[in-house]
Amino acid sequence: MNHLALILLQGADNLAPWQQAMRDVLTGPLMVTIGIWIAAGLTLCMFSFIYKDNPLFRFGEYLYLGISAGYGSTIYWYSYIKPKLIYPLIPTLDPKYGTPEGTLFNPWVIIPAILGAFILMRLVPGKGWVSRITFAFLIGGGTGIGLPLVVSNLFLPQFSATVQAIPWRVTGIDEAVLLLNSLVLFFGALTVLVYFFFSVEHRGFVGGFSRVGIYFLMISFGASFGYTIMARVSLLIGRIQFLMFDWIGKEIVGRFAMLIHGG
Amino acid sequence: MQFLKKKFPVLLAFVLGMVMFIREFVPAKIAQSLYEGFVNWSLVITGFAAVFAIISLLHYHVAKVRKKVPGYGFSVLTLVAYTQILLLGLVLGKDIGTPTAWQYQFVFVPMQATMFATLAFFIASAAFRAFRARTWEALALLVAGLIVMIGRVPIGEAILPKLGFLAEWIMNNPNMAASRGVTLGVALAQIAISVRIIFGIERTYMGGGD
Amino acid sequence: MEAKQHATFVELFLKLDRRIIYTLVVLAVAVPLLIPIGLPINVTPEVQSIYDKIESLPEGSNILLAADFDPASQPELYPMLMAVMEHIVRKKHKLLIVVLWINGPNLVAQAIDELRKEYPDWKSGEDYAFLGFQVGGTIVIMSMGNDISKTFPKDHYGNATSPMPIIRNFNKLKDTDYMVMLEAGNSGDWWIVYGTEKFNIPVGAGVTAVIAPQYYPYLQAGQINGIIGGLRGAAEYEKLIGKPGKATSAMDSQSAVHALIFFAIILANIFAMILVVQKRRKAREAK
Repeated sequence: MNHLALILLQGADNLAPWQQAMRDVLTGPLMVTIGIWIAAGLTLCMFSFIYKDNPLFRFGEYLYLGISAGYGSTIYWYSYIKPKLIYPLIPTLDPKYGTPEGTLFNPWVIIPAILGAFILMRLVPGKGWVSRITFAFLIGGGTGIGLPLVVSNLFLPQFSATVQAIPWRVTGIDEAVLLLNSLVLFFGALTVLVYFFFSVEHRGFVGGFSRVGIYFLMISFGASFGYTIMARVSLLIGRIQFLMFDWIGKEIVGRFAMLIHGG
Repeated sequence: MQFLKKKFPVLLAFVLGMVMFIREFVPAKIAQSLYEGFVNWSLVITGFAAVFAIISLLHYHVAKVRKKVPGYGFSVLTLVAYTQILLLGLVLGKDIGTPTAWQYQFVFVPMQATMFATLAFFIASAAFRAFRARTWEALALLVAGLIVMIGRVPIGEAILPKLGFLAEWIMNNPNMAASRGVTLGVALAQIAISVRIIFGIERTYMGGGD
Repeated sequence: MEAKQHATFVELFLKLDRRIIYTLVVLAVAVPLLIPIGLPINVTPEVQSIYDKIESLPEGSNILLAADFDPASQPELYPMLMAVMEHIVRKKHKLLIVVLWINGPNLVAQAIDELRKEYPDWKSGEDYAFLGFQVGGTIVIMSMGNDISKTFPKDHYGNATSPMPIIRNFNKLKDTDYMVMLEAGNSGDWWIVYGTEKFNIPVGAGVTAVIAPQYYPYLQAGQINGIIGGLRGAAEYEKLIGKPGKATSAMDSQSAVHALIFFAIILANIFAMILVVQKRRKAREAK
């Protein structure tokens, strides 16, 4: 038991012989080949959804859920639970204990840990309200910090860049283009903002503004549409590259060629 | 008890919110310590939120298996997949050359990447079926979309060099103007919500129930 | 009679079976992969400026790389990660890599592994440190403003970060000379509001194509100095570092599918218009 605890809690600085052996096997040709076949099978499982929802896809979907959460939990363990909760409270468990690299004892961690544990009380019927204290702490404090930052680092720079971009002195064709572009920016941003002010009735002057705003938004949505196509197609290319080259190319055609060559 | 349940959280959010807000404008050392302390504690607390999310997921699937809801076999699969990768990860590590990294590379990556790649088919089919210039607004959307779509790939620029320039102009001017409007709107909304939270008007973070 | 036949063709086209569209999409991807044409890729100013910035920094500058994505956007952002990292390695800058997305760290580990095969002298702890993932989003960024090694006490491999030589001169966000963030969601906004603006750090954004349009306001306001947008942007960066890779080889397919969708939309619109005109004519004839 102690041995297991030791393995669980230690970090892996230098690979032990068994770790090196494991690494050699798992990154070796056999396991890579098996991996590519599994990856290809799962890729096809997921693609089968474009025909229709079917058990193969659902198999992939639920497997994905488990693997995703399990991998996430593993990452939590190594990046958060061990170095941020366990080591500061019980520094002797840190394999680097006693060296300058070891974690220092920090009893204060217990307070946020208790506050954190309050969140888990949501799982206990009737005790969920305790978590409000934690959320009030996080959201209250976070908002207090965030508010001035949103004003100074988001609103003001964006606002002043809209107004200050306008070069009023036009001496040549270049400046004229610049002026035109900056006016497009100014009126575009303004009309879109007017459009979003739902509380004002969209009539007369305001109505005209908000109609212009709609056109700016439509052009922007169009640009987003073009880019979204680009993104989805890129992902598809990535998968087809994998199927065509890593799987069919290397594992099927490549091996077949080797077989003929060898024979 | 009622105080602790209802009033205390709102009071705590108000006091902390005000303190953290005012601290920004106080150049004293204590202001910096307050900030660092809050950040350090929050870093520990948010980890529990993640733990909560994972427990909820597991809870959902365990319940499905217990009640033998039709298709509960899939939930068993999720639970088995979860447990094995976690245990392997805890015992053998997660770096290159461990079973966790192997599963990540050959199971997780292909599945997640493919899930989003399938959208390429749907978006192509939907564009063909539904992308029509029925109104002037739709026409604006269509024209901008087509120019950006074709102007941003090498073939567009090869056929008509000006297309690339035009796509670039749309991105940097009308698109940017509208995005700017949206960004400013979002910033204003964030500011408003922040004020509402600090003054206890916005309490959705407290969740439902009593 | 003839008009009727014509109408059925228009209708047939507009009701084209989705499986035919899917097959055409697959072909448009696969054929150019097998028979590449290698259409020239022009470098846009947004990408050039990120390259120029990394190029112009003196050797040994501190660069922070945020790899905030997971396998869902791997085909777009992984080539970008490889190209940007290789550029940084060649210029001998100091590099810290962090991840705010829980499902991302192993992708970065893979990229580092790949790169180290080519640059075996690139040392962890001295030239770079892969700090891995930390939970908390904006709080992680705020905490990095105070103390990076306290925020990431152990790196991705489990080594303590505080004794690392690279951390000695690079332990607060404000020590950063340049930052590149690779983003697949709104974590880029967090970096700007809570990190780079606060500490005056110049930053370039490599983003998925889906969110790229949202980054143009930041670019115009000077809050970021460049945008590498989607796979196309990655291909441009590969061209800049003179090492065409996965992104470059995908560009012909990208062109082909875009052209396919482009013409499909235009034809569908023309045919839909024809249909409307025909219906109107029929209605008039019926009267």
